[in-house]
Amino acid sequence: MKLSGHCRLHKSRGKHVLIMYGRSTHALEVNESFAHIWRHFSALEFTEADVASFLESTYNLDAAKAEREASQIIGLWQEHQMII
Amino acid sequence: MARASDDNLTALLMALVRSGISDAPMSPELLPRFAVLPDSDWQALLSMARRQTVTGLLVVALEHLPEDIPVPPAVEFALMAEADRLELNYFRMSEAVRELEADFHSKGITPVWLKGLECARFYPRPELRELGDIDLWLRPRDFSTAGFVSSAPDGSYHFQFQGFDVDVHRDYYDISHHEGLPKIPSPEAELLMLNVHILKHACSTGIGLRQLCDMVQAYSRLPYDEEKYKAACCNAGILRWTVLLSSFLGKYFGDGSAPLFGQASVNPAPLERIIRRGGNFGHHESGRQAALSRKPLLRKADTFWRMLRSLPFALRYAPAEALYYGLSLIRGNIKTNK
Repeated sequence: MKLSGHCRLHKSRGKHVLIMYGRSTHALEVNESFAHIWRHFSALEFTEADVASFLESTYNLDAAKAEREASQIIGLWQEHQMII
Repeated sequence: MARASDDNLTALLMALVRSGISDAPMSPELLPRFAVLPDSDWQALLSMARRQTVTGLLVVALEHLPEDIPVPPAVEFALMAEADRLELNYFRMSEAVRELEADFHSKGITPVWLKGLECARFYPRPELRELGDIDLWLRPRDFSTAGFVSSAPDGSYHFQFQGFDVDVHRDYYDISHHEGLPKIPSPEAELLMLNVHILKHACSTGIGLRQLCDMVQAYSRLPYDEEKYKAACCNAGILRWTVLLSSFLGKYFGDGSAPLFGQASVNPAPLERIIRRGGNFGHHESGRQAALSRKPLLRKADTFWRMLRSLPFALRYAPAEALYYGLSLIRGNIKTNK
């Protein structure tokens, strides 16, 4: 899977904002962690396991927690059609 | 809080534009005014920036605004989306120009690129300068080599390339006589070309802030000889106009931002009115959008009427061009309609 090219992450004035383009344009303010994860995967093809592995190493999570967080993140991305 | 007056909003817009143009924070004494600006005034500033096609400069300016200055999320997010649009267009146009240049060179043709993308290079963030068409000038022999046949009233040739309108100009300068003008290309030639481009539109349907920003950036970035440039303006008969233009730029971008050639600055109100009235190329003036969507004859009639209306301004600041622009438009339309 890949992150949609129809979403662009912006940082301005201390805020991270994801602008999502589709039939209409939406803006979603996200936190630093989301932005960091998004930037890491923005140019990559990846699996859920890749996301879990990244979380484990970046945030010092145990494997089980990293898998749960990765599943939630992928779910959120899918819900907002951020994944292709 | 009551909505700010138009003059107030103009001052605030220009503060943002100055910050954007220099990619630097604005003067701190202006910040208290932004700190108490209601959402409606921020929306008005965004609307003004759109009319003047300088939203990219607001994107940059906002990045320098202290975080404790509240900006409505709707305005912030709208400007982020603008930045995406501008950047995508810039990279697409850059690619298109690269391909066109390679094609021209393969035929032994050397184009001189004008305006748009060339002006973008003057800015700290060129990808945020609004772009429209691709403009270039070809020497007469190159125009023939390319096999172009003039199709527009002004003698230029138009075609589409990768979704962009391309205008190939026969004349580098939008002016009636070309004797004693700078060698092309040169910094003085580029300044004069940008200068008379603004003049031409100020004398017809209107001009917006974008081209005035280009001018101040060009003055700042091009290594031009002021005496040669002054001589060019004199030879072109536009010294008085250039002093007006420089007075406007001096008022809003600081003394020394544009040459006055030893003359006193003048009241820039006549040019301010034109810019405020119609925005980008006068397109936002009442009735103009409707006219542009009509049949060609009605569209041209509207253009001509606006030229006539601008005649007092043109006669005052560039009398030699006052009739030139109107007559050349009529002559060109007769030629193309034959």
